[in-house]
Amino acid sequence: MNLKKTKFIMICCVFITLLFFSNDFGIINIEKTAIVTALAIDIEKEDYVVSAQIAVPEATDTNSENQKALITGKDKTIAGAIRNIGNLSGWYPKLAFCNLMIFGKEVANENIMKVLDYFATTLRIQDSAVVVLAEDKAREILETASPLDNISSFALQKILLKETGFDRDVSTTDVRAFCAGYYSKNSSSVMPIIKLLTETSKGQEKGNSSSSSNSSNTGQNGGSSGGNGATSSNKGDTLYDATTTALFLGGKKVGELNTTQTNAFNFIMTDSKESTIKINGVGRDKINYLLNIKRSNPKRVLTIENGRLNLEFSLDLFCKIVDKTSMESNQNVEVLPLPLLVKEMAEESIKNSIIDLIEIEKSTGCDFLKIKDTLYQNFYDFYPTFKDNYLELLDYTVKVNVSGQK
Amino acid sequence: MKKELYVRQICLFFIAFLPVTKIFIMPSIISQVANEDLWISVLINVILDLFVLVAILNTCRKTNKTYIQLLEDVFGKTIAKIIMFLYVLYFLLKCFISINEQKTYVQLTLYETMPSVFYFLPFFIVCIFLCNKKMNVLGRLADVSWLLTTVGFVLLLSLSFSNVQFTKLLPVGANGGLNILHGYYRANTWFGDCVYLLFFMGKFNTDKKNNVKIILSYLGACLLVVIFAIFFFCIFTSIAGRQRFALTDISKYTTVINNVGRFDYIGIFCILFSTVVSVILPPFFACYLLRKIFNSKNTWVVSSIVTGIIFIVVILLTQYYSSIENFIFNYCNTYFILMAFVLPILTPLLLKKGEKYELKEN
Repeated sequence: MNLKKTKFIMICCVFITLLFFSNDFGIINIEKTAIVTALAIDIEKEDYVVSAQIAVPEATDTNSENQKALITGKDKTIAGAIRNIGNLSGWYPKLAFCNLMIFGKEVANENIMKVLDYFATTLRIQDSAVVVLAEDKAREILETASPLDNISSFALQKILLKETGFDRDVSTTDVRAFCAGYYSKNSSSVMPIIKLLTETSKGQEKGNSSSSSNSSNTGQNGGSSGGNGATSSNKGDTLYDATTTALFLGGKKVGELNTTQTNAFNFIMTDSKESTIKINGVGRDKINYLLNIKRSNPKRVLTIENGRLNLEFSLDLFCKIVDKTSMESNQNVEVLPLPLLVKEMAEESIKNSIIDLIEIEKSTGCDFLKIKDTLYQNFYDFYPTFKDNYLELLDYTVKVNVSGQK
Repeated sequence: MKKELYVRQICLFFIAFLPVTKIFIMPSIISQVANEDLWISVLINVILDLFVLVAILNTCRKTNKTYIQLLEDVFGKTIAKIIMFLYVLYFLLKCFISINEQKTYVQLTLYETMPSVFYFLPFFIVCIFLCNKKMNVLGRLADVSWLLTTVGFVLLLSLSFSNVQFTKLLPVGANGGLNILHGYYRANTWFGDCVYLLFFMGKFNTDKKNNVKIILSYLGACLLVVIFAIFFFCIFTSIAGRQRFALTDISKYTTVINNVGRFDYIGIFCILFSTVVSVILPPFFACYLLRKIFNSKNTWVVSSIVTGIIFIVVILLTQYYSSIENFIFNYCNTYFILMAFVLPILTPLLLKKGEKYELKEN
């Protein structure tokens, strides 16, 4: 009898434990649960306007349905606005799968942390969600569709979270990283800016990039791939450019990095292996080259001498030629030695971009290069002396070495 | 003579149950005061617990008596019962934070929409069931759970490794000794696991070689805790103090999770399984001691009463959780240090002169 009783209790316990771990006690009706894939946050007349893009299977069939999967809530607080989405639609907005947050440009004019802090502390949303800044209204981005993805947030995530092998041309950041930057010693963070490239603007963009490539020898038009579509923005003709970066100091936007500077920023802050460098107009024949980075070794050394800070950035890149616009030999381009002129132009171009970055840091005060953090970590004793005027007392040297096949 | 526990089970007990309770809110609670020196605060706790472990193992080597028998021999039955009662109180206080963090974790992260008391009720049923069992059930559970704990930790740590910025630990000691000690003090409710060994005394065969094995397994388990604390701070840096549920958060920033989905929950569930047992350990030992104090044969009644008390405090006083948490962090930790460090480290003194060289039975 006792054995039977024990067995019965054990089976009950195992069963209850299974329920305990498997969420079977969850009582939300799945048919009333809206899986939010992205949020767009704007400010309108002192109200927060939160638009939620909802993944409804039917909504992905056509582009026009895609727009209907956007629900907007408005309130004085972010949490209130999200709650209103549920109240207005009757669908419970489940944010656990929300991997993207877009902020309108008005949000960045105030302290963006007033908004972001809610997402950083609530457990309803993952703080690994990527955050981006819209050029204008955040909602407009969610209303668009790309030629390959009806749901714009999915298309955007592909641009922001690139697989290995793509160019590192976007300074992707998530809620955690942005907040960590804000609450760090330097109160500085970065965020990619999303620009919409519709048919018309794509034409302009192409014009711009061709003219800029004449003046500037490096640069990329990241985040866009070809595609012809209809004329309106929600008919699948929109592509997204995330290659510019917004700089934040104390939660407010204080500056921007253009495409070339964003590239340089990624070169010195991350491992840029498999990214590419464009060198255009080399020599008398104006040959264009595309170099693929096979090895990247960024270093920075901060020293203190005679009451001044010395920062040395060094970047060692090993590149291979991917393509060139000349046919002087029938050899595979990958085994071709890197011409000295190309090497020098690449070094000069990257060096200038890095110098630009330091000057932008000095002018905006946004420590996106984490110099203050380095000062705190490596020279804690000197930190009180330099913490308020480290940018004024900063001297720097930049060394870039591009090597290739010999 | 066959003992209730094997040395292997004692070793696995530490690996299975020691690290799992220290990865919910403990890292954030310490980093609120010690910041990047959080790992030093953890290390202080580990080292102090190591002294306790060595003292108890040393005593075990010299006697076959249980801790309760030693207390009765030295102080008499009444004082022994008072000390046992103090330990009951210690275990009841100690389990409050752990059970609460487990409850909050389950309710807020696994059942986000309508967290209800009902969701966590099964835990108390499991608690009554386990507290009703003899000591050897812990050995059997350790035999199973160590693998789950190890798999969980390996998965979570390897997934989070790419986001760890080790330079964030610098400068070492910048927060000052006082803050580091404050961090150590606040973490006392989660440490003091070696105190369980007091009640394993006389229930396992040990010698010098086996003691080394137990110490090494303890150090292995502590290594997981220290590594987790380091990873935690190096990932969250300046916002570490706000991350109450490090367990869920630590691994999700890697690209593979973004692309594939939250498969790290496999590791989290493995750890949660071990945590259920680990969190039940204090009530288990409280029941064991209460049965000894009152010579009770009715195990169901004792385990139901103890679980009932915990249930009332945890569930019915939910709205006062913050105040209770503050009370434990600010006032109870001194009591925890007394019960989990001072008293156990004095255990060798309980041995009488002749007893120290008493031959042990095989």
